[in-house]
Parts: sequence; structure tokens; C-alpha cells
Amino acid sequence: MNEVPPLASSGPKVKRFMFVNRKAPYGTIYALESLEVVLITATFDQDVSLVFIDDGVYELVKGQQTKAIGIKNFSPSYRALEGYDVEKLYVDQASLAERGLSEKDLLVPVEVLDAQQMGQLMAQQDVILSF
Amino acid sequence: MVNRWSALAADHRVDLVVCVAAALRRGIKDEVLAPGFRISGLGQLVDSGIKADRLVTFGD
Repeated sequence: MNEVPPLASSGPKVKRFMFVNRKAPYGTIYALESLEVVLITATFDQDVSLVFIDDGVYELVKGQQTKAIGIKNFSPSYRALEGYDVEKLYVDQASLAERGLSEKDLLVPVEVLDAQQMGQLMAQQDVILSF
Repeated sequence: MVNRWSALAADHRVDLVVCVAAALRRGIKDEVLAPGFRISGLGQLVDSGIKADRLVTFGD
């Protein structure tokens, strides 16, 4: 990955916020609470990116059926992120591969990065919150 | 452990803020919070992230 491009709105208070998602979408509250913070952060006009690693990649998988566990399928919310100008979604290549998944199994367009690229991206952030 | 947080808040005027959405989801309200803690919105977390020179998190 090359140099970071200058931020579009280069006000002094714009910071790079990264949200790292590592857990399956159901069974714990992590994925949903991450999404809550992401949406709030987007309203502050910050530079927001989301990363999906380990079981976190399951959060983005198409066709989630949650009826049997009695929990609302909130995965369509990831499609709505674009409307909040949250368009930087990154997925860990190895995590996808280990689970037999590829980009076409996912709900939204993402950029697939290897571990080294992911590390570089993380090093460029001001704030990293992990879920 | 929570007593030590309360002591830290009292001795060093540390603001101990609890997220309202996360708290309510777990049945936690203002009335049951230990001294020194207060409930506020997620916006305050983001605002702190913008204003602080660094933000550190603990946990999994």
C-alpha cells in the first residue's frame, strides 16, 4: 500500500477511526455494538474504516437466516453504511480463505487485504476500536 | 475492583463514563452505578477520540 491520500475534508478535527470486527455476528453482542459506534462516528464526519478479521468475516456473509435463534438479522445494516459515507471496508484474506469464503459471498463491496497490508493500514489510524 | 475505580475518580478527578446503550441492554441504570461513574452517550466516546491525542482500549 502506498502513501495515504489527504483526507477529503481536511478540517483540523478529522481523524482516522478504525473499527476492527473479529467476532461472529450472533452469540455475542460485539458485532451489533460495533455497528452502533460506527454509525455514531459517521455522524461526526470522521474518516471511518471497518476491518473484518477471524470470525468477523461472517458478519458480512449474504443470506443470514436468524429466525431459529430468535434474533433479528441486522446484516442489511452493512449495506446502509454507504448512505453514511462509510465506504472503507477491509477484509482479511486469510480469514476468508480459512472459512471457505470469497468476496462474492459478501453483502457489500470490500477490499481484501493480506496481513501485511492490514498492518500498514492500522499503523495509519488515529483511533482503533476493537470488537 | 469497582471500589478502586471509584477511588481513582475521587483522587484524580477522572471522568468514568458508561455508555447508555450498552448499560441499558444489560439492565444497568444510573441508580446502580458505583460512585464516580456516570452514564452518557456514545457520542462522547467519539468526541473524546477526536479531542484526545491518543485513545487506549483494554479487553478482548
